[in-house]
Amino acid sequence: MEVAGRWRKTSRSDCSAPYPELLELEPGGRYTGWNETPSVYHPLWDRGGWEPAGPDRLRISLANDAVREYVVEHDGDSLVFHDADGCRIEYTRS
Amino acid sequence: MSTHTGDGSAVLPAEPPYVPEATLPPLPDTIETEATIASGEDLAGLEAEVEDRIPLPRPLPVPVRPKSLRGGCYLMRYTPVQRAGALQSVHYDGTLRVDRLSRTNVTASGDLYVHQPLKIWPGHLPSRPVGLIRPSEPNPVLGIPIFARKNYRYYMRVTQILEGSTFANKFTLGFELHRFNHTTKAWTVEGPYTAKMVWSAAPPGYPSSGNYLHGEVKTAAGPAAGRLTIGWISKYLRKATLEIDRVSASEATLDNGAGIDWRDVYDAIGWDVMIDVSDADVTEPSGEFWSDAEMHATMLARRDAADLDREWRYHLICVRRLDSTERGIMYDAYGGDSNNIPREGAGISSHWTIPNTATWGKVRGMRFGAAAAPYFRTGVHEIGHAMGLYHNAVDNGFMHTTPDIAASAVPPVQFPDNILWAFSPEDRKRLRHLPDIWVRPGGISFGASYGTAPISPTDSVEEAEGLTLTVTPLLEAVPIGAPVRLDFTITNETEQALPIPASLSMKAGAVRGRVVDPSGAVRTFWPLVRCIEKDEIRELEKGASVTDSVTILRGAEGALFPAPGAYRVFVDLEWSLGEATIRLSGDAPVMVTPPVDESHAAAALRILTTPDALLTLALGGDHLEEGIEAIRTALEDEVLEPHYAYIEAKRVGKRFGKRKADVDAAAELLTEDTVMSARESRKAVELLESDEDVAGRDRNQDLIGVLTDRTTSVEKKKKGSRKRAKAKAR
Repeated sequence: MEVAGRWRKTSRSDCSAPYPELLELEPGGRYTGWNETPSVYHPLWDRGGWEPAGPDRLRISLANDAVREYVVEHDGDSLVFHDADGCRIEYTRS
Repeated sequence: MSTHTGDGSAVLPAEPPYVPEATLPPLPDTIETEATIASGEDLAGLEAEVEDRIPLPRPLPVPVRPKSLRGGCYLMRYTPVQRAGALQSVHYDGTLRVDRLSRTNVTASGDLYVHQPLKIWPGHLPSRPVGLIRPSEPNPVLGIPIFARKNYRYYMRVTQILEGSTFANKFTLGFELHRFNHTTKAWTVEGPYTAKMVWSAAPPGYPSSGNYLHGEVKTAAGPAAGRLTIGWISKYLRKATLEIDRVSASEATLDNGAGIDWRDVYDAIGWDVMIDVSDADVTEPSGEFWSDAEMHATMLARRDAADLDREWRYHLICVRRLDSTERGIMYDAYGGDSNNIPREGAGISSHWTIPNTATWGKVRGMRFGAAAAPYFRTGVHEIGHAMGLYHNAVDNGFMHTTPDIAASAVPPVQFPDNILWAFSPEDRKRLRHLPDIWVRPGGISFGASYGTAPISPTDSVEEAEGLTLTVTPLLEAVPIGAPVRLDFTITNETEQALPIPASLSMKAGAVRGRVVDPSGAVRTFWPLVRCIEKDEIRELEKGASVTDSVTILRGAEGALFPAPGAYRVFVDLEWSLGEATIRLSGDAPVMVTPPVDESHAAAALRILTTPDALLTLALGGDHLEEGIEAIRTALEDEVLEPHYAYIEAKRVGKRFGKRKADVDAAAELLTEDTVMSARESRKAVELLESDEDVAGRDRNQDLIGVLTDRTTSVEKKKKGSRKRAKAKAR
């Protein structure tokens, strides 16, 4: 699963709103997430670490330093996260 | 103390008499004051400076003591003008924080809590109250007061303190009041207000008799809005308690092993924090590892006090290991906040083993609790989250992440020697000046954007001396529903190069602004900023100018130009330079004209009521369907079409996902009449020249020529306009 790189969120659902509009997954296991437009939410992923946790899972740290595991679907330029509450967060390679 | 009349209503307490404004600034009186006194050298310079502005008698009488607001916390009381027919008085108590960075530079903010009599209802079916209980007033002898969260009402965003070490006995305080809605967690701005604050003797109980002021509060239109009193009570800005509990096998983190402890950390940000090193025998509920829920439950069971309306108490628990992360966590957020009282506590892990790799420098392979410096740093970091701060990569300060700091060490310096034992300047300001309800435990939930909270502007530096900012609207009148395009130019009027932001794009973060509508209401627009902050700086050569543009439509409070009328747009540039923040402002008037027909009115309504229209304007892309639809509606109206043609051209002319860029379609939208800023014209030319189809590029050559010419002519026109504006200003 080659997911390092810059991703732009395409989901517009309410549940995906706390996730950053842009996500830069650095090859060394660090990431930066940020919003380009004003939002009522600080990005749930702002700065931290990420790592694969299996063939279809990623572990990512949150803005409060907790680490969460997500089921992911990766297909070329598309990366979809599924959080524990059933929210689907879609990103496209930017 | 208030006195009561027979009907239960209150009579306002006696306050110092109002001193009418004199024609000339009076010389300072000789009351004893502990106010900041300039040094002899500073005083000499100040006298010379003041003489330039106001004629002073010579020689200056002795003693001459310039007056300025003393840094620290003031007990504040705001009494609005009572509504006609109101049976009971309402006033607000709170604190004002004056953050004095130098003799003339100060940042200030405040918070107000309602002080309203409680109604006493009869024991049976209540029809009307039978009496009132008046809560006690805060006692200045007791220092910084703590108010109940439910009474929180206003953040005071201080915008102007014209005291600058004045020789007069008064100064003008400018401020906005941001009312907090406890249900929606949103802020509504009221004001702007001004108050002519007059120094007077403090009532009994205040620790500094010379640092008490009062003044009448007025609205921008002039009518009296109320009365404000402030009295100095502490050199600190805020007060809190940190309780540290631990399991027996874990160290209580108390310092960094090199002389910096909790008090030092919080003294540096102006917080008076009592450290309560408490239980050392906390029981492990399920072995070495702790879940977020277990830490939360232990905090509730073991902390020494729990009334967050009487004390800002944060809780840190030191345990062996954490379920959900390695080093530390502010668990009282997101799903971890089981009692729905946010940001009360955090936990750190003493028995995580630091990786045995070179990145971790001097502490590689160590047990975390035995590595005093990073262990303590993590404690401060997690309590920083409890105080409402997020990660901040601007430096190696407390809110950066530990692995990033470790990875950034450059030999021969090794981690943890490269830790910066301080909060970044921005975080320091946040801890001092964000609203109480943001930083105090049990306030606003963790996860809200900094952009949602008001904060006082920094007044830490002289306005960027030697630089001017000229703002020029592309069109002085725009039809309602259209975005407003402004050019702004920074000019270096000195004989030496001066630092300015490397990028003046909204995305770079230095540009923001305000729009004042015909009624005086203020709406703000923010930078489309990355949350990880870093100000890039470049030099502007002597005599040189640099111009950029903004296109604005919506801001934090919704549409910026929601109705026809005369507006004034302020563009504010702020950037960091070392410890200081530099500020530069300029403004220009803009007229918004009313709808000319039904089509225009309908299209304008659609634009003004569709928040995504701004996002489409700023981002482009195909994913904002409502925004695209609103802009299409505008394109179908002949009045608004020229104002939105570029926005749609930018969208269709760029690839999005699997859709290819359609430069021809973009070119179809652009004409000589298209309204574009200089920046947009340049971007349009770049867009048309990016066409991979040679035939397409050829077809668009005429249009490219027209736009290139127009960019040049726009520049020339703006230069002429700026010259005229400057000449007029002179």
